[in-house]
Amino acid sequence: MTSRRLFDKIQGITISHVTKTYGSIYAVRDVSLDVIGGELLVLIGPSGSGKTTTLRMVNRLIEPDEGSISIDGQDIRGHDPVTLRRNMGYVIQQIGLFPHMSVRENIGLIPRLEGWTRDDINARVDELLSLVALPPEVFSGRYPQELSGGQQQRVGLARALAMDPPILLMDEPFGALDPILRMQLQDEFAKIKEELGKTILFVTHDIEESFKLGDRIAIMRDASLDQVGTAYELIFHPESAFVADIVDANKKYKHVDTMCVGDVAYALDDDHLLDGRMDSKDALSSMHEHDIEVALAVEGGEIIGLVNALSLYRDAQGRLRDHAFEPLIFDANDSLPAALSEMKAHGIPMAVVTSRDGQPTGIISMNETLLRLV
Amino acid sequence: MVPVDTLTNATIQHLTLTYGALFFSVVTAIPLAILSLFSKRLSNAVLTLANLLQAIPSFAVVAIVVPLLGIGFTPAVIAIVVRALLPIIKNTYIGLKDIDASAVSSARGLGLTEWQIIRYIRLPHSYPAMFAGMKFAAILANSIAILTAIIGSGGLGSVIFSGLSNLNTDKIIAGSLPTIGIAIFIDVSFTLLERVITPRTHS
Repeated sequence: MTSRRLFDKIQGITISHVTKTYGSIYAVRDVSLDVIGGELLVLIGPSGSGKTTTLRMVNRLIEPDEGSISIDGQDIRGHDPVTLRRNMGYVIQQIGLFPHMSVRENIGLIPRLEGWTRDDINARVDELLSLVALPPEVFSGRYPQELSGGQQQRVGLARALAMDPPILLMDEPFGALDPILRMQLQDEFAKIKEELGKTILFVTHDIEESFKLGDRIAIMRDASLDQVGTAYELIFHPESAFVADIVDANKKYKHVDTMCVGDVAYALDDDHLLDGRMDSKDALSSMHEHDIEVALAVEGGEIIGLVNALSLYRDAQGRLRDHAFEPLIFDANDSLPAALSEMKAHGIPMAVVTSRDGQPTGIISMNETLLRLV
Repeated sequence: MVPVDTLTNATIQHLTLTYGALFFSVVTAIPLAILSLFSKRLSNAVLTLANLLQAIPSFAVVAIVVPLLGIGFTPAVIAIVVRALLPIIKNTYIGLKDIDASAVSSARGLGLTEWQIIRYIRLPHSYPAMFAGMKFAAILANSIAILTAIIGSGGLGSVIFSGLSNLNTDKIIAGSLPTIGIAIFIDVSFTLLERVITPRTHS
């Protein structure tokens, strides 16, 4: 039996008002959630909050009582469950490798059931083992019992990727590993994730893990969805005390590792752009008028440099361009700690933040950033 | 002395009885064990009945078929099957059931059909237990096939019983030795078979 390939790269998964009850208990209650194609969306919450149930409804291991789930606008109930699952990878915390099959047979089982040739299967297994950093010549003949926990979970991931599914469902995949190994696998997975470009739904109860891996995070509580957003949105704009508590919003500095420059930059508007040829005094009064501390001196669309209200105030002579200092420039997606340490190394407390096409979009101030983190 | 062809015929009859009954036990027990996976009610019924049958002394089972089915080869086969079913059903069921639940749920999540889960995951996992059950059933069948001589099944049992009734030592030995030999053969052959068929879990 060969299963139809249902989708290559998906636009998105739409979970719409799904409810699942067991007896009188709600496992999931009216949850609506959009997973954007290509993103890793984390479902996080305490145990019993409904995150695993939500995940398992996407591959029809659990059928919702109410509501619907669709992929690229097609209701998943229109697909045969087996075909649907072969178009999605599935990784669970307990891994569930087949004990009587070698690593090669474990990974190659679904391709074999799909009627691949032995050569194709072997080539695919070797490729996947290399991807998860297990040399095929060493590991393909081993049995699950002969692998460490971390190695088993790598095989579990390789097995889920066998059919190159556009969607991956991962249920606390690193939850059973010791903390050091977990961090290592998270780092490896973060890299693999970039290579794969898959749409991933990822369940965890570890907030650090969700900040590290998630493009967006959905927080669940008592079978319902509390808030969905980026790490930055959840930390700086938690909508409830529960969310603030989960993301540890009062200790934002803890999350500095996972933040990027764009998260803490001030947006630039026209008031911040001053012509470098204007008189320093005029520039200073303009800045006072708009109550801004830092501005960008520009000439003909070119950034001349940053100017600081305080230094202008001390010595408002000549043209603005004479007071401009060459700024550091960061991309909005650059890592925040790296940017902060570079600013510190250069002794420059301000930097310009640009979008991908090089347009200045914001200013980042070291002091302000540190103040916002505590 | 017992004539060679008498003994040969008795041995062939005994082997037919033992392996015939074993064959019917296996083809009944394994599907029942697999079906029991799908229904709690069926598994309860099957296992309770099989346990109950196991508790009845072999001799009583052999005796009770006479008023129900008469005497001869076929009633003897049925008596043996009744006794040999349980170890196969019970062991196969346990082997199928007693698999790491995460292996089954990951198999389902990866897109194996329920039948493929049985075929590729549960059955291979159950082989050691299943073969242990089959070996035990074969040894049971071999012993009961002696008893069924009383209800006219023929075979080595007839030689033994006739030797016992006349205190004919030659006959007793001529009937007993092949039975012992067959028992040893069963044990060794099933152990080898199990070793060949059971999937490896170590490289």
